[in-house]
Amino acid sequence: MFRARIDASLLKECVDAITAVVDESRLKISDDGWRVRAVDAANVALIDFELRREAFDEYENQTDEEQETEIGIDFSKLSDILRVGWRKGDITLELNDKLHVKMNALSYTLSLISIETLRKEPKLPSLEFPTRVVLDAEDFRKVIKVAEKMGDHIVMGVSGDVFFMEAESEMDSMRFELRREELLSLSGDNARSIFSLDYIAAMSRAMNVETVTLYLGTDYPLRIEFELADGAVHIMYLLAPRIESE
Amino acid sequence: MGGGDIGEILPKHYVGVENLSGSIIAVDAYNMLYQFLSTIRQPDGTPLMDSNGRITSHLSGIIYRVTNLMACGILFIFVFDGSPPELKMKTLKRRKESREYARMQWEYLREISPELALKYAKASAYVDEEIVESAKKLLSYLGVPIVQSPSEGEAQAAFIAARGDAHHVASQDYDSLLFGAPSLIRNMSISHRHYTIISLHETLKTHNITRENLIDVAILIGTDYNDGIRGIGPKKALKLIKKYGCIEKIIAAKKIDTEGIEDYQIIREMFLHPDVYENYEIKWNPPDESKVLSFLCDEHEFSEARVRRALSRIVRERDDDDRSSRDSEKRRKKSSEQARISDWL
Repeated sequence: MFRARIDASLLKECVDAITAVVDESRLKISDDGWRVRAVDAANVALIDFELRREAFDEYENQTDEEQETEIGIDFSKLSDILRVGWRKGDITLELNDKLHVKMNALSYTLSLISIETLRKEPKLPSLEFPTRVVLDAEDFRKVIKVAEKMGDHIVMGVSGDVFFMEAESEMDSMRFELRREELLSLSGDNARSIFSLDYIAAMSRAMNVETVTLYLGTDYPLRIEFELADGAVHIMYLLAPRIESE
Repeated sequence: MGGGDIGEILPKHYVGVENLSGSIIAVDAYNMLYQFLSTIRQPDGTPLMDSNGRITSHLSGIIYRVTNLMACGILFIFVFDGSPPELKMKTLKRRKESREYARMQWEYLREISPELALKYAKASAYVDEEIVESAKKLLSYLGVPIVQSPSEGEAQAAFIAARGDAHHVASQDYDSLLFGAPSLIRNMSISHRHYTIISLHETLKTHNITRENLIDVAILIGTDYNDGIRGIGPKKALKLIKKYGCIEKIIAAKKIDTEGIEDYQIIREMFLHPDVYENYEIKWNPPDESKVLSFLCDEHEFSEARVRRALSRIVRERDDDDRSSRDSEKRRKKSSEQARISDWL
């Protein structure tokens, strides 16, 4: 049994951040809050998501035997519901054998997915990133938006004092670059990797924040980190690169 | 500007227009028309006009900028001011004076220094009855619902949003948050396509205060209805309210001079329970193309080709959706191979 109240738009942002990688996933509920760690079906992207109890307006977790409850949720369904009703201020969530979502007069019962049918929580790969970049999330989103018009992948990297993003189509090309002094932070070595835009675009849509931190390497995964609700929500994505085949 | 610089203490989010697709926005109509009048001008500061000398800057804003946003899937409700509250008279008089001063400066400077003149031209913009009537006409031809407020448009817009009939209020001023709007969007009239969103809930939660507290903070800084206390800015006002709880207690504890906040109880009450209509009708209609064309092109000499193009955006929105999804399927090309996360385990 679990009961909580949370701001509707915050919950929607959280759910959108999760559905950028997976539609259905395990959700761990504990006294500390919610946690989702999942990889997408193609094994390309991973999300490590934490929604701390401070982000909720009310939070009651009554688990008898164990500290942690694990349930299976269809987040894409939840996202659909929130998209319709998110204008109302708060959402009440109640969990017994189903998840009850209440938005003012509207209440919706979402049946749970049996955990056995869902993939196990993945291990976090041990990665050492040579390069870290902190930039304006708005800039990042905008560039991704432009790149989406060009093709299906994007090159991201650091060369000396410059962080760059490049995309091209058969006819046209795009390059975005920011120098060290135009970034919030840049540290580490040169790096260059290619990533699928489908994934990054979905991730960037959840990024309604001021700043985003990127960790990069050469032909190496990308780690994206950002926070919502004053740090009460922490989102980390890992995205495997595309390796040039020649 | 109402609310002084209260914006400094409000947590802001920046979103692109794509994040607003599907949302309903109650627009503080006077505020947006004013933005159009002040920004849509010829290089020397003259507003756009037809050959009869009637100003058309605001109509241009509606037909090009507003329809552009509508084409992105935003539904608008335009909320118009009624008669201003008594307490606002002083502010309105001051605005009128500075407008008249700006107008004089503009006329004097336009021959000498067009660059300097433009600044004054913008400051002389004024939403008069004729502007309002023509805007209402065009909006109704476009099928956009219009709601009249008994008093402040922002208050009515905030009421509509707080009730759940709109997701956001659009205005440059912050007052709608004080009136209880759950979410405020700024910069809506500008065509740069990214907007500032401020959530009331988040604001209150961030500072751990109530809306009543926020209103008191605004009154201390100064609003459209009072001057505020000299020397008190947003941060100081917030600190005081958080320490003492309300203006009454600040006055009792600190023996401060109440000059500039004399009417604070009335003003607070006005923000908490503004004069609004509880019954209003919101209904979106398809645009009446022939009426829009005859109004803009025949009466006000807009370019027919441009108006038709603007109209086609909101009329054929659906077809475009289909086309763009076909396009994205078409562009699949591989020059590299996707690796897997598990490769690094």
